[in-house]
Amino acid sequence: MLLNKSKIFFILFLSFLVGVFFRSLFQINIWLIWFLVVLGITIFILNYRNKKVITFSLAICIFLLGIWRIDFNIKNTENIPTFDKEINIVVNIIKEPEQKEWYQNVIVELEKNKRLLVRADLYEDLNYGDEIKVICKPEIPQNFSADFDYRMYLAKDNIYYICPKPIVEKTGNKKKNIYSFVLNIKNKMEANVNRVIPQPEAALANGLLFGGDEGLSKKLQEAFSKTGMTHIVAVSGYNVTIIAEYLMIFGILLGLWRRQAFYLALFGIFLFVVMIGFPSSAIRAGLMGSLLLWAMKNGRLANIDNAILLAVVVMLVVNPLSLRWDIGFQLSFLATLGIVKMSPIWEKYFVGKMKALGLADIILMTISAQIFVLPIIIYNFHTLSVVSLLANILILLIIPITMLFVFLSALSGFIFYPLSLAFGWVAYWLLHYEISVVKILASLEWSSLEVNNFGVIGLIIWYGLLFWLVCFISKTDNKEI
Amino acid sequence: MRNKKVIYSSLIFLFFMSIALGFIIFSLKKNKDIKVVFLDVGQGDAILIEEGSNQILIDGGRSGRTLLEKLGENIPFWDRKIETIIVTHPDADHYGGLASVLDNYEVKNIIKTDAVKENKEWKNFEEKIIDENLENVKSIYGMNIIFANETRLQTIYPFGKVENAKDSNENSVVMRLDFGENSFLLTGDITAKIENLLVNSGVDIDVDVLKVAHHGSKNSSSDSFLKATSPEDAIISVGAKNSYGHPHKDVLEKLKNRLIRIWRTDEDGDIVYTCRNINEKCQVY
Repeated sequence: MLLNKSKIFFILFLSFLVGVFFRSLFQINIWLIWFLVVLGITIFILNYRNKKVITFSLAICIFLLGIWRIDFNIKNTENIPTFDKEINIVVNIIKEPEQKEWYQNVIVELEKNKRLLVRADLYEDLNYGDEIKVICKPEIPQNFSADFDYRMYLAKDNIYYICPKPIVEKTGNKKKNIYSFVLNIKNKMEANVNRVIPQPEAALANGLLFGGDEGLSKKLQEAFSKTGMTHIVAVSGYNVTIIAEYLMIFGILLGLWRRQAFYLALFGIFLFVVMIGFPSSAIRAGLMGSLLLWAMKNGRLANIDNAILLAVVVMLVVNPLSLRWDIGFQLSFLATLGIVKMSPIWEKYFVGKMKALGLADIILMTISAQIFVLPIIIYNFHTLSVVSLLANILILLIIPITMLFVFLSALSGFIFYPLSLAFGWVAYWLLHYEISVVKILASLEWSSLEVNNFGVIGLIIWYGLLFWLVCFISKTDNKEI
Repeated sequence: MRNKKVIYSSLIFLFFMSIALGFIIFSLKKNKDIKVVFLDVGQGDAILIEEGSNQILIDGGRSGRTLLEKLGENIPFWDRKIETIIVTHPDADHYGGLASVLDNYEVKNIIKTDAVKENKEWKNFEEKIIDENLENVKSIYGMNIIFANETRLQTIYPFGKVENAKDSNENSVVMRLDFGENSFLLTGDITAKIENLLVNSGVDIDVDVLKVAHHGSKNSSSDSFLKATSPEDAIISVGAKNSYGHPHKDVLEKLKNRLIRIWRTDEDGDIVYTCRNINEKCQVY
């Protein structure tokens, strides 16, 4: 095996990922760590002239670094002191409240990096930056089902306490900063959409544009998940890529060079991430989307392993807990990986270079992403959507156009209402079609299967096979060159 | 390049199509059908009466999100105006969803009694009504809303001014809807006591369709009331697996014994009566 720079880079970053992964799953004995340190040093001293050896010992160090990084966060989540008295605090809301069907989740800070989730009534008009008085007894979140580690899911965002039935009172108005200004624009755009498009189409519209299925009723959310369509309303690399594609077309129409248009698109992605309030899901989507865009621009979709790995490592350095406890993280990463890794097959046998807007591209990308995320979905949600592929084919093709019209409608709502209405109506028909497809497919009795004993073994077998397939592809690929 | 042309021309096509469709729909606006829809909003009541582009919404269930979806399905997409909202009484399963309607639709009037609830949610709702500058019409006994084609919605209870009684259910607004040969009785959450008051009051409560009071609770739907109303259809607006045990099995039994057809929102979803002609029976879908 030849070790070039890119391979060394790959190995080192992978070691970090593996370190985080190991510590996510297992308690690691301190003696094992010392053993590895000593092993690393010994190998290095004995054979320091050999490039492979240096790489190997460095890899061990970085592996340990990964363990150390996540260990710090895991320790933080243990031994959380309980509150035995009610607290009465006046705090600022540090995130945009998340509206659910029966309540809204409001996040405030108790002390640095110790956040409290307050479950406030829906009718309270609460916004980012508002000062509120909270009276409640904070509880440590409980896991209600064996499948879902709610406590760690919250802990990954530094939320260690929850107030299920608080008394909340707004005591002061918005703290104004750039962030609240941007959020305000987003909220106004959503309001513009709601003004011209009825529900549930409007909720889908806003979900497509800004992410999130919270606007949909529970019934419809279930229909989306049964048909494997939830990803279109989740902020994912997918909708970011579409936005970027539009911006590139727009830039080229303005007379920019392709290269300049590409930077315009990158800037647009950045703005988009800011606009929806910097949630980790959007940052992730922004990174993954930018990478895909960049790779497609250069026409080498298959060669961005290192870039993806780097993005993942950076995200894990910032928040190592997401690797195991954030399903969104896993899905986003795997879907991107799927698209990238399967592309050589498709390009060879079907379509030529991927451009992401044609029918064949969409079908193939969907299949690639699905193959890679399916085990995670089955493992966590115990359902296998039978109609997913069909639903995706029927819907994905018109999503870009839908997004365009929703966006135009939202934007023109600021300027000229009738124009917003006209755009809104076109968008309405498209959205209505999408929702109808989802509803009809979800209502079929066999639309999804319950899979209860998939388990870790299923995961291992599936990803083992995928790994083998990917290796096989890259081998045959290399031979031809 | 060809690909791009296809995209652009289809965009332009869709745009013009929507404008054309808009005109078609506007001309359809003069539609004379009456629709009475008992919306499936889970545990709670929400009844939509629609004539062309005029809507009256009686109560709004518990969840704004569900209600808005239901309205979106039942009101033409271009119509963002609801003429009148009626709140039968201040219980959350009857008005909880209405705040979102005020946010998302242009609402002209709101009709409610003087009954209030001493909680924040109700206060917020009342503040919202003031903020939105609605005409706040009190529900007065005998008040009629008359539609274009001889459809009449009449308030038959409460008889007089509502005292701020503890039991809001007993002050629930009761309405009768007449369309030619067809009649509906919408009873809110009244108890057997009020039912008997109505039976003895001499008001005409003999109808074809009865919205069973209080989601089929055992404290409502007395024998004398069922006899006096003698409906063919009974509607039970109830959520699946609700914690109240609604509808009560005794009530279901009583209805069955009287050979009344039972419609339940938890099993049948939205129950839609379409009335095309004053001389014809309304059809259920």
